[in-house]
Amino acid sequence: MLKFILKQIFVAIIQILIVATIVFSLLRFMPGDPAVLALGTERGSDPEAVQQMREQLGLNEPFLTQFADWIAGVFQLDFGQSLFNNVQVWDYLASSIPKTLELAIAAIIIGSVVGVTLGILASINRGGMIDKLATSIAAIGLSFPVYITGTAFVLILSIQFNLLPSSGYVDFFDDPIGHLKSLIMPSFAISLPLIASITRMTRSSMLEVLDRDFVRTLRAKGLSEKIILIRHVLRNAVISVVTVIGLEMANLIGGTVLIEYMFNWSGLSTLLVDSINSRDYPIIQGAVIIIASFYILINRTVEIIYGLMDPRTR
Amino acid sequence: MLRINNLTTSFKINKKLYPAVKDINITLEKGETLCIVGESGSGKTITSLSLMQLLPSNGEISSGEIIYKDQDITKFGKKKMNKLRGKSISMIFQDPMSALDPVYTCGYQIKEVLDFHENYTNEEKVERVISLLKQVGIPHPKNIYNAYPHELSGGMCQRVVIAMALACDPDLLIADEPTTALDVTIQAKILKLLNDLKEQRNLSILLITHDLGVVAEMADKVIVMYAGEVVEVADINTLFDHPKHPYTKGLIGSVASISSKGNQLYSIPGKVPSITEMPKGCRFNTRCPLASDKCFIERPELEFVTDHTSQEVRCWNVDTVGGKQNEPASLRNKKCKKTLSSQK
Repeated sequence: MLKFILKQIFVAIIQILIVATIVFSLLRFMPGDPAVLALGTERGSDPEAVQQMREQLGLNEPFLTQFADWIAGVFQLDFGQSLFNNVQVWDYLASSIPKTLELAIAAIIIGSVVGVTLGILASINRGGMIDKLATSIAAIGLSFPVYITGTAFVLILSIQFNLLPSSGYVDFFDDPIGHLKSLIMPSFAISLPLIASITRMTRSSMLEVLDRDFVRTLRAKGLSEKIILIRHVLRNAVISVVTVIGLEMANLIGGTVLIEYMFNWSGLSTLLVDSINSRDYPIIQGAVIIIASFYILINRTVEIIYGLMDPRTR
Repeated sequence: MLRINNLTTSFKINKKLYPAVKDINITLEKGETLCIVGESGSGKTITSLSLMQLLPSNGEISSGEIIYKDQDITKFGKKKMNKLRGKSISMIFQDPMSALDPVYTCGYQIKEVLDFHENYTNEEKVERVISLLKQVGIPHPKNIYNAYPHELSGGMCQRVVIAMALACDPDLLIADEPTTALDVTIQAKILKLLNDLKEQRNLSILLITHDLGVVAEMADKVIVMYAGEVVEVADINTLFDHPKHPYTKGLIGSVASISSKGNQLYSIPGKVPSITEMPKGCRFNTRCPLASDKCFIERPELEFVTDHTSQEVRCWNVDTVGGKQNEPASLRNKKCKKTLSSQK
């Protein structure tokens, strides 16, 4: 098992290296001088500014040295400075990573708890009322985009009933309750499609496992239906549900921009979109690498959990 | 010990009820092995699942009774049935590789039966599981205890399943094609194991198979089923020496043997009718070489034959105690033999 985990870590490092290489090459292979690109058309016409920028970006060094410095920087979380002020890219990232993680984790917890419960109920009531209700909820969750459900939440919960703040991030250490209140709506809005896909996955894999021969053996052993369902059927079904949860989680790291904007919750994807708009290349690079690394790490973790849960893959 | 009286199990297909097995009568004594033989679709497995009350959700016992140790278990509730299953009546299935839960160790899965039915301490349970594994001929029981099903061969898995079935010293073991998925050498070993266990524990076995070789090896008594009905009941020697029903003759005729090498192997023409379109009269009529008009109109009853005391058969063309015939028996037997040999 230890060997398996080490292998996964090794794979993750290699994948992050590849991402770092691609991100490094992107700026170098773009047509035109990266320094001019970085400066923009107006300031790029000033040769002195260009020279200064080349210095700052290290473009005067030999290519391989640039590459080595860049990779070394990535592993020390040093992505350089923003082009517009002297703030380190990492400082920008450090303030948005926790927000993104918090939002993603909250949404995943809601999505998993509700989704798995609905999925189990639907599968044991196959064809019954609860099954129909759960599959309808899943269909609704999948068919409404987050900006619709998000807006609906704001309209109903904030404006109509004034229960929750309509937007805005409150720091946890300033006001813990206010912080959690402001977390509720964005995380619920994000979790709706998650509930949908997790419900469907749980339902279908529960039904698939219920059809397997060993369930009959368990019944022949005289076990109660509850133990068969929870200890055996769910235990087998949850293996594929974990994969879906992992993939969804990975998608959330860089994919919550709409909700972040809507609720003024400036996480990683807001940072990425803003820096693309202002062409702040070092921040783009840093954000892309961080998002990709989370994606990779989550996937590797899912792989490890999968291995722990299914003895056949060890 | 076990008596099944007029059991009929029906399935709901497109909102209509169809009997899958009809008027089954079985008696099984302590320490006896009863084989149920027939092609696929003849209702063997449905009979055994009815007995265990493990029918699929669209199936139900519609009439008849199953008397086990003087109690009608068809009247048992879920809880009472759970206490019986795995404890007093246990069952092993066709494909051992898929009969075990892949995510738990073999030892755990055997121990689970004890958790549910017995009040042992944990150490006692582990000890009992290891001794069970030893009894079913597993070489390193302690290693196998911690092994996962996918790490074992089919034969080993079936031994684990048998150990599981025997964990609580049952009185009746139902084995549904226990060796079909295994290769021949392993088959022989598993059958020997079952025979040994039967001797040691005075176990009653209800063995379901389509393999007459297995029947010859194991059975004391044989029930031949066709299309959901019992067509012939006899003890093992009578059945092989004097099969009466044309279907039984056909089954015995279709066994390959070295002496018939070079000749075309006999096979019964046609296939078992499906549950939704059972023929009128005798259900075997469309495939029977002897079928006469009567066979297409009136359903024969299962009755004792005149020349063997313990043999019963459901056929108009056999001399039975209460039956009426449409032609002399001697003539018909000749005809049947002739048809069989001409088809060889």
